[in-house]
Amino acid sequence: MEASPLVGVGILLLIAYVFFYLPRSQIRNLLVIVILFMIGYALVVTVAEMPVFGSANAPAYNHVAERYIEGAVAETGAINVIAAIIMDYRAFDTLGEATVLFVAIAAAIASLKAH
Amino acid sequence: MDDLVIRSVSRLVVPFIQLYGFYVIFYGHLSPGGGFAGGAIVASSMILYGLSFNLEAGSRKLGHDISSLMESGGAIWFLMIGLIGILFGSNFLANRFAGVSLGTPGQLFSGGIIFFLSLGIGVKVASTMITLFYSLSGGEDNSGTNS
Amino acid sequence: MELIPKLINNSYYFAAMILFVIGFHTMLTHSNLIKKIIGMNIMDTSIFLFFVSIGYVRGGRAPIIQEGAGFLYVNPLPSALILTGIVVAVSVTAFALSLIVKLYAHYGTVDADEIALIRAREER
Repeated sequence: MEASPLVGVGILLLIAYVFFYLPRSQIRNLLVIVILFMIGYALVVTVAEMPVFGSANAPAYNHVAERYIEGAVAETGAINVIAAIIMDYRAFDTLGEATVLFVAIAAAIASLKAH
Repeated sequence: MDDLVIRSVSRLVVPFIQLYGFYVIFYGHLSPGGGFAGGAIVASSMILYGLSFNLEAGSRKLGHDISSLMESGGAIWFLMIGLIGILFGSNFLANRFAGVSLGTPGQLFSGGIIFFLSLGIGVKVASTMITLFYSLSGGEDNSGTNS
Repeated sequence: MELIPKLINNSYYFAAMILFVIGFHTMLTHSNLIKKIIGMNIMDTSIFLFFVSIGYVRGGRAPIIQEGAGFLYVNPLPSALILTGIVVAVSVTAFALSLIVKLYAHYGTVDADEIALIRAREER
C-alpha cells in the first residue's frame, strides 16, 4: 500500500464519519481498531526506511553538531555540551520556553481561582 | 496522612533532597542535569512535605505569595542577566562577546553567565511545580479571593 | 518480507510508533476526560523517545568533553531540543487538568458523553 494522498484523504473522511455520525456500538469499536491499524502500518513502514539506528553517517550528525562539540569548551567554557547549547548558543530559545512555562501557569491559576 | 513513620522520615529527608536539587542546578555545566532537572528535584521535596503532612502545613511552609514572587523573579532574573550583554556593547544574552570572563573549564565558576542562567531557570521551574501542586489539589478552598 | 529485519535494526523507532498508536487509541476510545489527557501524555512521550534516539551513535559516549583526543560523542542536538519540548508538554497537561477541575465543579461529572447530554438538555 503506497502512501498516496488519496489514501490519506480517505482515512480522514473515514475518521470523521466514525466519530461524528456513528453511535457507540460494536461496529464503531471495530472501525476504530481498523483505522488505528492503518495509521500504525503507515507509521511503521515509514520508520523502517530511516537510516540504521546508531550509524555514524546519519544525516542528523552533520557539521552543526560537530561545530558545537568542537567549539564548546573554547567558546563557552562549559564541559557539558548540552548545557552550552541551551544556555549559550541557543539561549534565546530557553527564554522562549521560560515564557511558555510562565504563560501556562498564569492561565491555569487564573482559571482555577476565578469565581 | 497520620502515619508516624512517614512524618518522621520525610522531615529528615526533605533538606537532603533540596541539597541534591541545588547541586544538580549549580553543576549543570559540568555534569548532566541543568536548570530544568534541578528545579524539578527541588520542587519534589516540597511536594513530599505537602503529601506527608496535610496541605495547610505545606502551604504555610511556602506560601502562595512567596512562590509567585519566586516565579516572576526567576523570569526577571533571566532577562536582567541577558541585558548584561547589551550593557557591555554586544548582543542580547551574549557570553564571550560581552567580555565576561570564562574561567578555567572544569571549575564551578566557569562558563560566564551559564551559572546564573541555570539558577534563574531552576528557581522558576521549582516555583512553577509547587504552585501547580497547591493550586490543583487545594484549589476549591481559597477560590474567590484574588491576591 | 524485508520489513521485519529492518524493523529489528530500528527497534527504538518501532517502539516509539507503537507507543504513539497506543496513546492515540487511549485518547480516542475512552470517554473519561482524565484518561484522554493521559493518552495525550503517552503520545508526547513516544515522540520524545523517537527524537532522542535519533541522535545515538554506536560506540559514542555522553557529550561531556573529557581530556584526550579521538573520543566519539553522541549527537547533542536532539536532546537539547527535547528539553524545551518536555517543558511544553508539562505546561499543556497542567492547563488541561485545571480546565477539567473547573468542568467537574460546574457539571458534576468528568465523563465527556454525560457532559454532552447535559449541555443538550440545557439548550432545550
